[in-house]
Amino acid sequence: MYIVWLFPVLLLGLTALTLSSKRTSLRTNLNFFKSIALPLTFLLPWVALLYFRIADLWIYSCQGMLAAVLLLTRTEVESDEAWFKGAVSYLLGMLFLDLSLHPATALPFLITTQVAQTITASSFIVALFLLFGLPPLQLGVIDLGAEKSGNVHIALSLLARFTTGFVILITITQSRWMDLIAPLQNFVIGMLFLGIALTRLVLKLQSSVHRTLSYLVSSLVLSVIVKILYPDFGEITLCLITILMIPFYIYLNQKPPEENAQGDLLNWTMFRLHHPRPALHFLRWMRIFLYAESIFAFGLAIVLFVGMQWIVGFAALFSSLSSFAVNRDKRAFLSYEKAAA
Amino acid sequence: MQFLLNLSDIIGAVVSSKMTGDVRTHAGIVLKMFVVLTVIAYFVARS
Repeated sequence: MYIVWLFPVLLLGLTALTLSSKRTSLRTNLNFFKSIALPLTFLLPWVALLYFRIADLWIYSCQGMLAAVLLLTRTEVESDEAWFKGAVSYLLGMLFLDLSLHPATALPFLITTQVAQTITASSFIVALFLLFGLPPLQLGVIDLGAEKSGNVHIALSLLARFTTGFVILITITQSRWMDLIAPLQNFVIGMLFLGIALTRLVLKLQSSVHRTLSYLVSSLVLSVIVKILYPDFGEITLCLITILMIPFYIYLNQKPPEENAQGDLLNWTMFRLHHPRPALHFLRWMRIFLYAESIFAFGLAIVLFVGMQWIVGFAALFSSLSSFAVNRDKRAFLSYEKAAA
Repeated sequence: MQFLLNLSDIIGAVVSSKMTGDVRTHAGIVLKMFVVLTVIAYFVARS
């Protein structure tokens, strides 16, 4: 359970990243109370994990954490619409997660095991699509991730998904959740791979830097796939992907050309114009990240093919190829070669 | 106080037609996907 202790370290490290913002106007955006309350709120599910042995309570604490974070950042998020859609996505996602954990709760009639398995699997997929912003349910979470204010972006786009992912993984370990999903395991994994593949295909079409980054964070869902296939390696995959995200935020943490000018991170054109070197480094790291992800998914596909799990293997291969093809695409709106030129 | 203001804000957003229209579309996609997945999952589980 060493991972339980790695979580707060990583979480507080990521929070420190937000506090070290070079943009003074953004640093003062959150008042003192909120800058203390935000990281503490993210620690709530972790405290629940440490002191209580009730899986439902962990899920509820995560739900409460998301609600509190959304309320704390209500005034900071620029677009009301994005905030509202994001809130709906996160809370609907948590409700579907509850439904997946207890498919028969509060029903006035009995359901068969087969129906319970079906509802568990389908609501699990919908919940993960909503919480991690996978297409076609990306509307809320990705819109919220387009937020340009650095600390609010990290809180809503990275930390919220990292904490939720962590709680889901620990709940999978400690409850009998996967027993219900087991017969439909291949179906769940296949759908999640397809979701990742779709995020990769639209990745380079985004004009906003923060939106691109929000799509990249969606790869945290890979940890759930690894958890279902190899229960011992889920949490470490989650932490590893989160650590790999840090350089992106470092490259984005740039001093604005003039103190009052905030347009330099508005979109890719402005980012390249005002910060050519960090933009190049950002794209280079994105290239490495996508290749690493592609190789990882390819490795999973090979292992699945060897284990005769053909359909899931093909889904993994599709995900791997989509990352690879998008990375190789030189004509995309957002390409490394264009930035270098 | 801020908390109460935020809550009233949310209720206001729910009531205002523009936002509910957009959110309704989103919720509609979620519901449709859930139904389609449940049907597919049922046949996968039965086979």
